Order: sequence, then structure tokens, then C-alpha cells
Amino acid sequence: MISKKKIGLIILEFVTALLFVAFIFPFYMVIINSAKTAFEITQYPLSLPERFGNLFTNIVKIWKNEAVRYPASFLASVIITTVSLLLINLFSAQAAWVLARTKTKVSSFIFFIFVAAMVIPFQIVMFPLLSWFRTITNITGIPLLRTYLGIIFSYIGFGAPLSIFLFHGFIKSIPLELEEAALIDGCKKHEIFFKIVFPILKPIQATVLVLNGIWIWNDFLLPLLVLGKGNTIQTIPLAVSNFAGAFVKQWDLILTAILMAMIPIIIFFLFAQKYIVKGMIAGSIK
Amino acid sequence: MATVELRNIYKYYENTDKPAVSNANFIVHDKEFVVLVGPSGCGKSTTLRMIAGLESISKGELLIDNQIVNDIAPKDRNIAMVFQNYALYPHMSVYENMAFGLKIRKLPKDEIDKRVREAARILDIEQYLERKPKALSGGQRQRVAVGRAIVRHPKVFLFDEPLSNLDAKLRVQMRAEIIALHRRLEATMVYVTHDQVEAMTMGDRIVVMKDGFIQQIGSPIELYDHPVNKFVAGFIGSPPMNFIDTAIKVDGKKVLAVCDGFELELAGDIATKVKPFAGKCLTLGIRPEDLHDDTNNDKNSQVVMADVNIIEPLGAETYVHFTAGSAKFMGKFRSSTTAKPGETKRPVRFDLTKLHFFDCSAEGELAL
Ligand SMILES: Nc1ncnc2c1ncn2[C@@H]1O[C@H](COP(=O)(O)OP(=O)(O)OP(=O)(O)O)[C@@H](O)[C@H]1O
Ligand SMILES: [Mg+2]
Repeated sequence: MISKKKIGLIILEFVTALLFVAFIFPFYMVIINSAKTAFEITQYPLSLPERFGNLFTNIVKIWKNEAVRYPASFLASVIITTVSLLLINLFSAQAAWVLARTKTKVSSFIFFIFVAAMVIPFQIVMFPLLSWFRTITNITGIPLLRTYLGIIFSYIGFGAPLSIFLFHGFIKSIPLELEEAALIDGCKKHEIFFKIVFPILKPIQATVLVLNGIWIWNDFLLPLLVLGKGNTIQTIPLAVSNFAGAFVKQWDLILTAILMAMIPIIIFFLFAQKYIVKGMIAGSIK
Repeated sequence: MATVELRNIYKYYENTDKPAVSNANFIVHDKEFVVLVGPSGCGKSTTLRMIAGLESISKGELLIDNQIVNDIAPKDRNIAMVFQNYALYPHMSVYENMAFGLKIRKLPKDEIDKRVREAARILDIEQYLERKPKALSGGQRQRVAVGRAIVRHPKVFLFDEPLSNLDAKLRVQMRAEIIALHRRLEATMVYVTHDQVEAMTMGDRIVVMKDGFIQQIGSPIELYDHPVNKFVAGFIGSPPMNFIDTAIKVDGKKVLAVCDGFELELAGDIATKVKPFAGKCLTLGIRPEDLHDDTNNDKNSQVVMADVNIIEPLGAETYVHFTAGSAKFMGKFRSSTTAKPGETKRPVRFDLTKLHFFDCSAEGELAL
């Protein structure tokens, strides 16, 4: 006889398998159709491609395409993502440390503001953001629209709340005595942070980097608003949309472009995914 | 030379009206081992943390080596502290943990290496130098924490309940090791504990605290023999002193302590000192070890008849709980005692030279 527990397990596995298929299906579609010709896609969208070698032809076409400018776009994406990530990581950790270790009403209020910012939808603030950027540029002369500076600045702002929240939770679980021991050992405030607190935050740093990294790399709306169309600085998602807009009918190439946009972040995710879970757990269990 | 002196020190934490430490005054002499002891929340850690500079001093002066250090940062006070939870840096190896303070102070590399290896040898942790703290047992972590203090060659060592996370057996062992270390380093040490046995066995002198106030300062034997009040009398010594309500009666030449159930006839010094309290109520204190399981009456003893309630055999000795009238008291007897639970009218001999008297108030200031 099959026990109740076993039946439950079988159902669970079945549901998991179903979910897996649902999630993997778009990837599958992108991959198989990237290796087809335009004609093949419209005729047999679900079948396997005739020749997988076609994939490389398509990739070369995208690589050389004037609208995609893949190498330049890739470089821009890398610059924006890495600089944003490094700064989000550093500034959020510093802010969270100060907020966690300062027990005043002001610091609780600031922390509350950060938490509240997490639940405000981006769509509500996006137009005020643009008009603020314009105003700031008019007053100070610092160019924020259509520049690296502006987009990285935006990402720090949008990335900070969740990151500060994650760091804050973990820092509270670090015994204060560690910092006091460092103080007695002769550390100054910045040394306590960089030599003691920051290294201990490593698992959370990994989580923060992965979560923000995936989002920033894939983000479309913010680059579209801040960098705009037809800019020399364009991220990969912008490049893909640019291409899709210009060549409406070439589904084979559009899908290849999408595939090429996905690959770097998938590789990044495969390397870093174990840290996501690790960091999530590290926050809750001491 | 390293002394620590507290002059009228007060500590008020924010948002509290009662001070955590009130009017603390004492001197830790050079090379002395002073223990701060008291029940939980009495302000021991606060006092130690003020000495370390981790807590600001609300009022009063703190001197290290005859220099006022109230406004000097912890790192410049030349002290080292061992925390209850060890506070080892989790991302550094044992070696790096010990070397960290020296590196920050920019000592030459070979000097650091020399000091770390020497400390590791003293503490017998040489084989763990490359390990992370996570891979050590509680006792080993404890040693590393002590090692981190030793390498600094500080003027004063501060310990905040360093043994309370260890099991009973290891605690006894580490206790002996810290005493040995104190001898070897000839250093000034201030040690906080809530365990009176630790205080008695380790301290050259003991500072007993309660509710932020220092109750008494003295050597272990002074505290044991001459407690200044009921709190110290009850806190020092295990099992604790018996307290029995009594009334003093002077009957001609006789001075009597009348308890509910028996009377003790006082003689000599004690009689003279208690006499002025004639007609008043006092609390009589006698330690369990000053009650005897025999009837060898001499002029300094008196046998009282009491009923046996419970006996607690511990192996080496047996605790026997008695009642006489409304008075309850306990005797610490040899395990060969014939006392049985439920036994009535069993003789117990009181050693009259070991009696203590306190006034009846809750504070129980000493009358004698
Ligand atoms: N940061 C603080 N803010 C407010 N009150 C505090 C703070 N730290 C300690 N206290 C209070 O000060 C008093 C003394 O605390 P302290 O930590 O010195 O006690 P302790 O003798 O070390 O006790 P334990 O044996 O439990 O460690 C306590 O009543 C405590 O509640
Ligand atoms: Mg304490």
C-alpha cells in the first residue's frame, strides 16, 4: 500500500515538474527558433530546427548588425551593471551599518523610509524622476540624462532599499562585542567597517550582487527613460528592442538577439546562484 | 606599574532614572586580581565597560596609572578585554585574530609573529593557529580570546564573565589556568563574574555589588568572616548562610538571643556587642558549616533540639534541613551523619563564636 505521505510527495513532484516545464518553455522556444530561418519559424514554430548550424549564422548577423551594435551595447551593459553593483553594495552596507548601530528615532525613521521605498512601484516615480533630473541638470550643469552618471545614480537609488534591508537584518545579528573588541584592538571607525563588518557581510553581499545584478542587466524601462533612444550609450535590452522595432518580420534574428542578451546573465546566475540561497538563510539563522 | 582607580563613579543610561552604577569607589593595585561579583543586573559589566572605555562615565573620575582617562579612547587606555561570548573575528584564523590588534598598531611583522607564537604556546593552542574560530570548541575559543589579550601586553586585563559559556568541568580547569596566567604575567586584572565560587577562588580581593552599589570590598576571607550586611553574608559562601529572626533579651548577667523554638545564651565579645540591642529584634546569621552534628557541649557551643525535614546527600557531605519552631536552618554535615528525614528532636550544636547579627530590615546592615 502506498502511504499518504508518499502520495503527497508524488503530487508535489508532479506539480514541480509542471512548473519546470512552464518555466523552461520560453527558453526552449528562444533557443530552437534562434537556429531557424525566418521562413522556418513561421511554418514550424514548435519543431526542432533543420540545421543547428544556422544559429551561428544568425549570431554573426546580430553581432555585425548596425542597430544592435552588440559589442558596444555589451560593454555599456557591463559598465552600467558592474559600477552600479559595486556602489550599491558598498553604500548600502555602510548605510545599513550606521542605521543598525544608531539607536535614535531619526535612524529608525530613515530606515522606515527605505523599507517604504521598496513597496512603491517604479511606474509612479519614473516621470517625476525624469523631470527632477532635468531640473538638476539645469541648475548644476551636471548632465544626468543620456549619461552613465545618470543611469548609475538611478540604479544606486532604486537598488539601495532592498539591499539596505538585507544588510540591516544581518548586521543586527552580528554581536556588538566584535566591534567593541576591534575598538579596543585599536581600530578607527572606518577600519572597524572595512576590516571587520564588511568581510563578515560576504554572504549578504553575494545575495545583493546577484539580485541587483540580474535586475539591472535585464532592465529595460529605466535605460529607455534615462538613456533614451538613439543614444550612443545603449544597453543590451535597449539594443534588442531597437532591433525588434527596426526589423519587424525577422523573428529568427530577434530571437537570436534575445538569446545573446540572456547568455551572459545566465552564466552569471549559474556561478552565483548558490550564494542567493546562502545569503537568504544567513539573514535568518545566526 | 598599573593601577586602576574609580572615584565616585556614576553611570546613568539614557532613558533611565535609576543609575546602573552609583558612587563606585575602589582601587585595583598593581598586579592585583580584583573580582567584581554580584547578582545579574547589579552593574558589574557596566563598571567594567566604563574601565574599558566602551561606556561613557556619567559622573566621577577613572584613573589608570594615576592618569584621568575619562575622555581617552579605549584603544589608548592600554587595556585588553575578554568578552563573555569571546567576540572572535569569524572571518580570520586564530593566528590573524591574535595578530590583528598588533597589525593595526603597526608592529613589525617578526615581533607580531614572536608574540603570537609565544601566547599560543602559553595557552596550548599552537596546533589551531590556522583554523577559523568556527572550527574550535568553546574552551579553545576561550583560550584564543585570552591569547588575543595577552599578545597586546596591556597594562590591565579586563574579563567579563569569560567562563560562563563553558561546562562545569572546563570552567574549573580554565579558572585554574587564568589564576596561573595571572601569576605568570604579573598583570593587573579585573574580572567580572556572578559566580561567588569563582570570585572566592580567583580574587585577591573581591568587590561585591548589588543594584549598582558596592556593598563591600575585601579579601575572600574577610568577606566570609566579616560580611558587612545580610546581602554579602548570604551571597558569599555556599550553601548560603542561615538567617533566623531573633529577639535580644538581657536577663541579669545573661544575654539571650530568643528565637521561636530555642534560645541561645551568648557569651564573651558577642554578648557585649549585642547587649545594647536588648528588647530589639535582630536577624541571627550562622553558616551551615558552623552547625555541628554532635553534642560536644563546651562554653562556646550550645546544643539545640530540632526536627529533621530533608536531607541532601552530596557524597562528600550531606546537607540537613532542620526546623525548630518557625526557624528553618540547614547544616552541612559529614556524609556519615545518622540524621533521617522526619526525625524529631535531634540535637544540633551551634558554634556561638561564629554567630552574626544583622538588623531586621531588608538591607540587614550589620549590628555585629
Ligand atoms: N545599554 C543600556 N541601556 C540601558 N540600560 C542598561 C544598558 N545596559 C545595561 N543596562 C542596565 O544597567 C543595569 C546593569 O547592567 P549590567 O549589564 O552592568 O549588569 P551585570 O551586573 O553585568 O549583569 P549580568 O550578570 O546579567 O551580566 C541593568 O539594570 C541593566 O538593565
Ligand atoms: Mg554582565
